[in-house]
Amino acid sequence: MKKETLQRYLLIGIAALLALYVYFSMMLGPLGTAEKRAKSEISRLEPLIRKAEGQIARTRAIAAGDQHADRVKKLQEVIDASVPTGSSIVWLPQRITEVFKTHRLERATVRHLQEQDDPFLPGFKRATWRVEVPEGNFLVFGQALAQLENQEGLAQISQLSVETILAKTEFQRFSFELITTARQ
Amino acid sequence: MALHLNLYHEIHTAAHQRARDPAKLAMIGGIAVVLLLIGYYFLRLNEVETLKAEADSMSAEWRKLEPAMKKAETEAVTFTERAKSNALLIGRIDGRFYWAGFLDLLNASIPTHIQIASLKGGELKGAAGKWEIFLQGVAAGEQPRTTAESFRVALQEALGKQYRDVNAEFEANSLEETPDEVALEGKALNTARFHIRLTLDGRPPAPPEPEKKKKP
Repeated sequence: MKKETLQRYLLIGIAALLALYVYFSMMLGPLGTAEKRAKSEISRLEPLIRKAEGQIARTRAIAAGDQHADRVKKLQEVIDASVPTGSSIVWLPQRITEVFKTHRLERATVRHLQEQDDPFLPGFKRATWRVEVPEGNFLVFGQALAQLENQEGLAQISQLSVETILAKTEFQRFSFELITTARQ
Repeated sequence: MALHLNLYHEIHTAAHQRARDPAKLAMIGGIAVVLLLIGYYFLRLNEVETLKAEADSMSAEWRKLEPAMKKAETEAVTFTERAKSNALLIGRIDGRFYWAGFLDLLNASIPTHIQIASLKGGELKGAAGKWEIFLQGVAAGEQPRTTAESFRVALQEALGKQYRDVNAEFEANSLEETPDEVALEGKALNTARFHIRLTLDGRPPAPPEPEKKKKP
């Protein structure tokens, strides 16, 4: 083999090695690094996305699972429509005494005892009242009480006392505590 | 046999030698390897680009989902609290104790030989929906204690049809005869005082569970 030919082959070999080095380190190398980075990013994000989707689905399920939401919404509307604005101390005693007056229990008195925030209805307060009817017939009082309980849908009589008046045994003295829901 | 002369044998031999030239063969092989390497590079490039696009799209999705997840976490607490308070509020309304209904039932249960002098009642503290009612009265009869006992039993039965966990009992040492007599239906009858403690669950009974469909 001629010397020139040998030199040429050697040159070609060196060039080929150089080309291979360039190919693997400068072309395939960065590709591998980019692939590694992309894979690590995917494996980092996959559980996070699954967790987020799960949390969103859970929250939707909680919101949809509230069986009472519609009833409470309607209730809120009823309260908004039926509970007058302004302090209940102004309008509620009159509303209660009106009920008893329609049953000829004229001497009913209503006293405000206490008021506190309603834990279930934001913007509303629970007020406690003491109602006294100094004299009346048991059956008539029962009818008035039925009207009051039907009219005040959120009210609850928490205590009731009925006592016979010794001097007039056909009449009784009534008193009760009424808890109502009133706007703040 | 015809004589065949190949006047181009030298040209043919040279062409034959050129075709078997190792340098040329190596060059063809080298070109093939280079083409293969270039093909492989583009294949890998495509794979990596696909992965990068997937990572980018996931990253964009996460950027969108992260605030939504944080919002959902906060809302989950709010919704849970709201659902709890809604259930309590509805329970308060559904479990309302109607005194008028109770008084009506009590009135219907009182026989002529019994007179109720006082009634006091209220919700038992610490026991939601449970009510405690005290009745003071007088029973009249030849055996007034028996009359009072019959009333207690009848009252418990009557209330038991409407309310749950009804219990009517005389308070300790409360049933005692008195020296007084009353005239009823033309007869002079002995009397006895009694104190009855009534406890009941005022909440309405739970609705019956729907019947399960039988498998055909």
